[in-house]
Amino acid sequence: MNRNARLTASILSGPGVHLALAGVFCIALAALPTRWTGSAKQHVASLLRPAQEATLSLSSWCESKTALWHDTSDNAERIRMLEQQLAAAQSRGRAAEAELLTAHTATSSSATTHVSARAADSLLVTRAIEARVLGRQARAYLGRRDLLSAGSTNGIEPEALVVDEGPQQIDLGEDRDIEPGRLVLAGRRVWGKIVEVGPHTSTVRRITESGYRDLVQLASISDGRLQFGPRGVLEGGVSKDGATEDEHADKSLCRIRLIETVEPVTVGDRVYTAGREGMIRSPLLYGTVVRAEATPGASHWKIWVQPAMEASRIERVAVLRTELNPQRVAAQPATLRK
Amino acid sequence: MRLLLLIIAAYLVAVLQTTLGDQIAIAQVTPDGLALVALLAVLTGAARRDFLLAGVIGTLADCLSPGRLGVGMLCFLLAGYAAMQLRGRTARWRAVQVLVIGLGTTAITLVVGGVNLMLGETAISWWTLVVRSIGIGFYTGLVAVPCVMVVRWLDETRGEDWNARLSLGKSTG
Repeated sequence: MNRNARLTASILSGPGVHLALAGVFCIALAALPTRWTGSAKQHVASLLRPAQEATLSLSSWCESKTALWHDTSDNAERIRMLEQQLAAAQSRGRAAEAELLTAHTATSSSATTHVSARAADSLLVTRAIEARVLGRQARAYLGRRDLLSAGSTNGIEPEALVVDEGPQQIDLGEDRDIEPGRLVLAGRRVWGKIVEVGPHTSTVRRITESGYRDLVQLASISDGRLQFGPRGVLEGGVSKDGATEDEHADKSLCRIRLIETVEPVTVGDRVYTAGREGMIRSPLLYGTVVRAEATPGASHWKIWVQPAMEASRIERVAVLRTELNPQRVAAQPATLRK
Repeated sequence: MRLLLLIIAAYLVAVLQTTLGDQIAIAQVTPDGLALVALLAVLTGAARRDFLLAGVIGTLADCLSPGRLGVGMLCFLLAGYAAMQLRGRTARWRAVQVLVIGLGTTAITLVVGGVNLMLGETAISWWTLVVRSIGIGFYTGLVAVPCVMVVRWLDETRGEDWNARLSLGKSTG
């Protein structure tokens, strides 16, 4: 009896049994819904945050020191840096152009727009929560998801839009109840959407990534004004030839579906967010149509979009959060507020 | 002590891989630091359950990547188990250890990517996945060369008896 017990114990303590048990555990873990495991993943990501921020700060410091050293010794490197700055300035210029067009449309269109631009009147207001891009998830070959230094403690929720963070200027001022500190989002470029939120970090799916979807609206420029046109669904994860995402992820485009061929679509049309009326005061820029095809007999256009946000390294972004207008809430009688 | 060093190494590698991964990428291929740490820990360890450590590091890799939790853990476990079976034969040969790390990383990348592809959680083509997996395995193997040498040097300075390890490896293998 003792001999059998010892034999059983030796078999159970063998590495093969442990491997089998661990394998079953892994399969059970993989079968769990991703919304359950997403929270655990974000908690682990939060543990890395302090070291990630320290590493990024150290990296920035080293880069600045290296650039200083190169300035005195290597003109070619300096030219390259200036070219990068020029490209960034051109990108900002394109965004500013779109921003001005949006703002111009907003100021010169109907009275409804005028009313919605009054901060005191709208029920919902959008707040931008600034966040630092900590890096990307480790297995980049599976798809690019970026880690942000803000999470649920900052009020970030899944599906929130992530936009560029740079200072924006539009032709609205005190006459439109724009106050210092209130962020105006017109013309901002969309970078992605929050997919997973942890207490102190969150994960972003970029618009070019597989699985990204959003309702969008095309707009053409006519007499210096934006004319909004048909609506469709923007999807990420396609390359220029229409195949799925290839190895040149930096060059990948987005695709717009569900726009009927009877609608007018031309290359160069701007693509903006749609379906967020009442939440975002002005539509946000997704990109520009670079290719549009309508095969004979097809009911819908095949449209490819070049994202407005460059694929280059981005350090800071803003996450949009829609909330009840505190001015409207404060104006309500106490009984209604309850 | 060894476990503590392994935890610190895994943490630092995870931080570096997520923050500075882009800067060391060659044609979108980066070394898989966590696979390197896991396989190196198994190859240079002596316990019969070292492959479970590889599984734990695989869980960390899963937590830092898109896709389902558990897939990477299983792959790390299997790769760690295979490496544990081979460590008796590879203990004396650093080049073979590097080769095992490179091949193991390629296998992990390929299987994790393949499973994610079949589950529809990524949109890369099979051809891209195979090429990228080989690239990641090769790059990780290159990075493993100095790591294997440092670990061997550390073990030698601590007076490890490689012959004893060799015989232990044979008995477990």
